[in-house]
Amino acid sequence: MTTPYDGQPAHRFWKASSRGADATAAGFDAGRKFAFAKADLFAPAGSCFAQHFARELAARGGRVLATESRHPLEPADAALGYGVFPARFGNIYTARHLRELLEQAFGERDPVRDFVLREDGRWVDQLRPRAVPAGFASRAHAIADRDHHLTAVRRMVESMGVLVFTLGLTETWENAPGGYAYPIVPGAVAGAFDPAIHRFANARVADVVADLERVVALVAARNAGARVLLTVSPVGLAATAEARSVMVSTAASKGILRAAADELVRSHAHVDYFPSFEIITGAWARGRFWAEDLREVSAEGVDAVMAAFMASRLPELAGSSPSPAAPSASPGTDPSDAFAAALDAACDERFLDRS
Amino acid sequence: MAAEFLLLAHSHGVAFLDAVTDWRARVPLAGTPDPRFGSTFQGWFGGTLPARPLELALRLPGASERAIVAWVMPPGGPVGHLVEMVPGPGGAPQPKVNPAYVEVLREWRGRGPVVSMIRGNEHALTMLGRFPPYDFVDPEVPGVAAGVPVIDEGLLERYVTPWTDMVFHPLELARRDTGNRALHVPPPPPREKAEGARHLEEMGELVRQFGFVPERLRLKWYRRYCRQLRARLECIGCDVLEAPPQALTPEGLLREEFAEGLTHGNRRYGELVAAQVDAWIAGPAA
Repeated sequence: MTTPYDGQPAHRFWKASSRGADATAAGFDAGRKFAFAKADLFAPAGSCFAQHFARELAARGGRVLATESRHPLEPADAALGYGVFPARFGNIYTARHLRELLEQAFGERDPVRDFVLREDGRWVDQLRPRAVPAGFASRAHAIADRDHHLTAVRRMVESMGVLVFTLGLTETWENAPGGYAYPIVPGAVAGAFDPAIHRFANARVADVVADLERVVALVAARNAGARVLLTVSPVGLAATAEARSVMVSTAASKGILRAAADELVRSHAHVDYFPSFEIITGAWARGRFWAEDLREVSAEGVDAVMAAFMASRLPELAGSSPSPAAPSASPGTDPSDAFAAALDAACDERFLDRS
Repeated sequence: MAAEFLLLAHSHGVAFLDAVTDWRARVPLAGTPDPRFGSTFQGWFGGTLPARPLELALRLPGASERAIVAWVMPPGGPVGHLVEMVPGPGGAPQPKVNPAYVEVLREWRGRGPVVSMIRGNEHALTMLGRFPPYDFVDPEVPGVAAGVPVIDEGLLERYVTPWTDMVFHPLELARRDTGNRALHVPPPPPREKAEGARHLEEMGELVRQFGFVPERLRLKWYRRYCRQLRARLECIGCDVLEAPPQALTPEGLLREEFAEGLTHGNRRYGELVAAQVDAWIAGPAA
């Protein structure tokens, strides 16, 4: 007797896949729709994990777009926030935040001007509070820079070949009267929490799907040839606003995001998914890719994801070794400690847990 | 007749000198014709100006003749820098004072105010398009260009401070060594139509290579320079004039009819400045 499973490749069977020596051998990305060429121009965006993807892709020879770069009159100072993402949007944790950003960039909604004064006298853009760590010299500067930033986001969408969006969270805090979402609750990094206007929202699958559909449509309208690659960040929630375990909220959020990503992949030929989440969190990994806090991803985990990505999606560059892009460490420091510190520094959510 | 004030003049003092003094009768300028400059500055670099201050007649409209002592100093001339910034022991720039300046101040001690028209072109390079397009926010010049990076105005101080050093240190010394009132006259604002300047002075080749940035950006750099300079000079009790409003466009640029070459005011401008200086001289003592 035969069944439709007979004669299928090994990656369709758990027993064989689980024995894979690495993520490629385990066949994690066997279901890919398309691969990329080394000439393709990538625009990574998303949660803190997306920062590492952007950096590692560039270090391995991938072309990462930059539409907002340091001007010669500006010092080479990390506090100005250049070189992390294609434009200085900072971490974008939710599909809703990305949708609202693109809507502002393309004039589909008015630019959001939510700026607060920091204790050091600098101004912060609450929609990207850590994207420009130095802040802005004046409110007028913050406004002008946001306008320029939205222009840069527009140019990014119009010129990119691939949008790589790492979905991070479903939980968000919104400005209820303004109708927009923050990347992190006001008061955690800058400003003050105001229960009268700041409201918690936890997206459902349908919400995330709707936001992603809108993102895909906005991109397609301006750049018909751009492809979209979705991933889900394996990094757990630092804190949950739901009255339940953060572990449970993490599972719920990641499940929702994974399901939503699947919907988009099924609906659009030019949208695909890369299984970073599965590589890190799946049973195959046996937990070996977690950092000490069991939340962040270790350097080994990032390498495993990138090696699988390059082998499957950028085979022209798959043999390239990353150029030295590891976080700097002082003499005598364990490089993995420096890496962990860098991972922690990338994540806005760490400001939620002050323990 | 006692000289009323000591004038320290680089090129931005020529408009004043031409308007209200007899300096050209006293010191004929000579030299090979220089096509980079108009008639006002022909011979300016000829090296015929004395290395010491000289007494000049001051002729203001409706007033009897007065006298001033003027030290007129073209660049590269016999005087050199009044105060030069040189690397110090730790590498940080520190002022090095011209002994001739110390002597002039000592001779002027107790005799009357010091009026400075020194330096003033340090910010001029900002008018050139040497960098990719940009803008910055300025509290005195509204508007920011669309579609260009917006430089943090807090970062600009590092560029402007060295320019103000060149005025601050000489005047700090003047205030300290003479104990007299001091007034600084900044250069005129950027001219309204830089592209229309017949004489590009020393910047001709640079203009051909880089072109000009928009007028609003030129004005922003000028206003920033003036504000930073004013703040430093006021700390040492030195007053600072604002450009005469009659010579300015509504936006604050120098009107064409008051311009000389790419960066200077003309004789008509000098007349307006002379009236301002005269009012300051007559004003309350510091």
